[in-house]
Amino acid sequence: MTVIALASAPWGLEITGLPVLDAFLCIFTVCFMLINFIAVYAGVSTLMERKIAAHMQARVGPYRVGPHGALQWAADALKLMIKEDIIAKETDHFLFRLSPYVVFAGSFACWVALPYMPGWSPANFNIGILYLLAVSSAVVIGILMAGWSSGSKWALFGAMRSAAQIVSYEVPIGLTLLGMLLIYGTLDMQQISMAQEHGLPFGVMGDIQGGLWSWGINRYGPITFIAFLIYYIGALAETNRTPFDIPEAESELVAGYHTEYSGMRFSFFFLSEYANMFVVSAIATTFFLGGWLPPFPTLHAAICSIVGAVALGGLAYGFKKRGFDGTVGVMIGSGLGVLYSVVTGPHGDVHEFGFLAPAGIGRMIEGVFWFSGKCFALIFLMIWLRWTLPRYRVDQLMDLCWKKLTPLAFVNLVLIGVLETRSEWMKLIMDKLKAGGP
Amino acid sequence: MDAGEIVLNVVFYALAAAAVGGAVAVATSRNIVRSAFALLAVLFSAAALYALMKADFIAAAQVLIYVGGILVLIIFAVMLTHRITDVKLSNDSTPGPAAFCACLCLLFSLVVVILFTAKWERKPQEIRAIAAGTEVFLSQYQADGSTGLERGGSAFEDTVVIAVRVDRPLQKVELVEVVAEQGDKEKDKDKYKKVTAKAVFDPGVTRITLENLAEGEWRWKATLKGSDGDSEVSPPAGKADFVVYRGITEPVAMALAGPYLFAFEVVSVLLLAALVGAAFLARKEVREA
Repeated sequence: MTVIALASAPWGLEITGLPVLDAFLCIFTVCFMLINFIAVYAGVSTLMERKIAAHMQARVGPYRVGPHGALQWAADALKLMIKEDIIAKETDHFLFRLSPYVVFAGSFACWVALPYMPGWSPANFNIGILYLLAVSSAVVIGILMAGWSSGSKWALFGAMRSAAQIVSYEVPIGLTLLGMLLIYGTLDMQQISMAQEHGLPFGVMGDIQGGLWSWGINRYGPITFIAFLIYYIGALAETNRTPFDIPEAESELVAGYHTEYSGMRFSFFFLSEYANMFVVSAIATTFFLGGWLPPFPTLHAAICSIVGAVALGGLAYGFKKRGFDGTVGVMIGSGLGVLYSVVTGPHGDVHEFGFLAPAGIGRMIEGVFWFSGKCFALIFLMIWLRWTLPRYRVDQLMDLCWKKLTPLAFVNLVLIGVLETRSEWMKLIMDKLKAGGP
Repeated sequence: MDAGEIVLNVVFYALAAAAVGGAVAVATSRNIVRSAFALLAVLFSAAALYALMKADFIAAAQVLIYVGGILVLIIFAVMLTHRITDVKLSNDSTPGPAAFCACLCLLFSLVVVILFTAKWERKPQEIRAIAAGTEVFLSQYQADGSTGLERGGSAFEDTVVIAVRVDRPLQKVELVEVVAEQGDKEKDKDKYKKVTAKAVFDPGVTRITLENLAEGEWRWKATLKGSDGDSEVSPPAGKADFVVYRGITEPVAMALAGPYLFAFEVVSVLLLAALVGAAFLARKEVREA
């Protein structure tokens, strides 16, 4: 009797010899590794957040556990695990216990579809970005569940605010991603990363490895840059980060939708928040910042960029008292370096670190390095913004989303569409010219 | 039934049970918010069932639209109504005999309609061909070899199984070789692809598995090899024998932007009308001074 028709294991790996069992074992192994990685990553980023906040406010931050407080996160995790689990009398017990898992499952399920390195994701979906947008909606349901089942007004208000905010900001996010999908023509996260390897802005010199100039953010100059900004602002709102943290506004709502939670159940919400930060940063990295691609495609470009960056950075440091920032100097310098190497042509391939490791593995390590590096840079930006900007009001938040970002995203989508058809026309005209005049 | 099928059956029945159980909970729960959350189980299980049938795009769209959109709005609407903290107003009417009978009738008619209209045959139509005076029947299957693949139809994996049935072989056949080709060898050399596979001849049905097929349209021909000589058979000339897609996003997009464009647009007009209606109902009354 066969009820459903399905093929054998999608993994080319043999453990027990039974294809489906192999597939299940592989899935469990990967999920186990990912969950552990998320736990450690979330811990380390809480430490990062506290340390950065402290330094921005001229404090030292956690300092007692481990050297310079480096093990504070482990102590925090231990504390959360052994804390008492309190369930108030007025709660809806079943939903109250269920909701942390729904929220965490929603953000964890996103992790399996991210393109960590060339040619490998835990689950290489054909529908990558669509899957990511779909499963992350479980987080909204989980938050509403937590808020309602807590039986507390603070939690309910927090949940309502959070859900309203996430649902609203999904509109501009979806529209900007749609615009970028017009450019890439695929939903597959791996292929999206790969598509950013060649070309210069506005389709000039299509087959050249332009490094950071061929990334999505530079594809159509200012237009895709604005798309990136819209996405990033929306992502801040989706993860309930400052300046959009009204669902957790301490001064009004105690702690928002997880007010009534304690111990391990609370830490699930906490983990989910940090996991979500990584996911939105990873989507931004894949769509706009070239995914696992290195910013300097050739050794030549890398050397040029480093020399240019150091020179300009040093120059900038000298002018610092007049208000010229060192980071600007480094950015301009590295950009000039890449531009120089593009103009002078490719001078060798640094993609395969042949002298470090076997070619394939070297490329994978390189990919993981650049991917996580870009993600952590975006997470750093989120933390930076949190300790810089004040909180929005509810009406200001909705105003920004529906009256400013959404129309802007629509205009952006139309412009990208026009430019994309333009390049199709350009291709047609070029083909005609090559074939011998019109 | 091998281990793989058992596991898949267990998964299928677990998901089906979750869907039905969730639906029962939606209908019988006395708390309207709990009903709404039980709907989550139904929608997610349905999406998982789609995924089990390899309809990846449909599964993602199901979760995206029903869970992310409609369910959130339902919960929102419930919570925005009065006295949210003690909603115990739902499902007070117990199902009477009339309602019970009506539901049974509906279920019965649904089952009858499905039984008599659905195509249950999983074997594809066989193509008759003549090779060296012998009747040969050709058919093609999806990757696992149990579900048929129509001629010109879509394969959703990079593997396709070709079945060659010879009832009365006239000559001695030892080997069956299948060559699948994509693109034109002479016109466009860069895009031309070729996949070859062979299997030992079986005096009933020989199954040959073509692996690592690239996306796009494929044509194939089979060669029956024997000590007396080879004879070649192929499906009659046409556009393509099968089309390989990675996932169903592209076929769905093609269908929506092609033959079903009109229906798609009409549905969007309906949604627009609903939107305008909602805005009309929700607007503030403008009084003329």
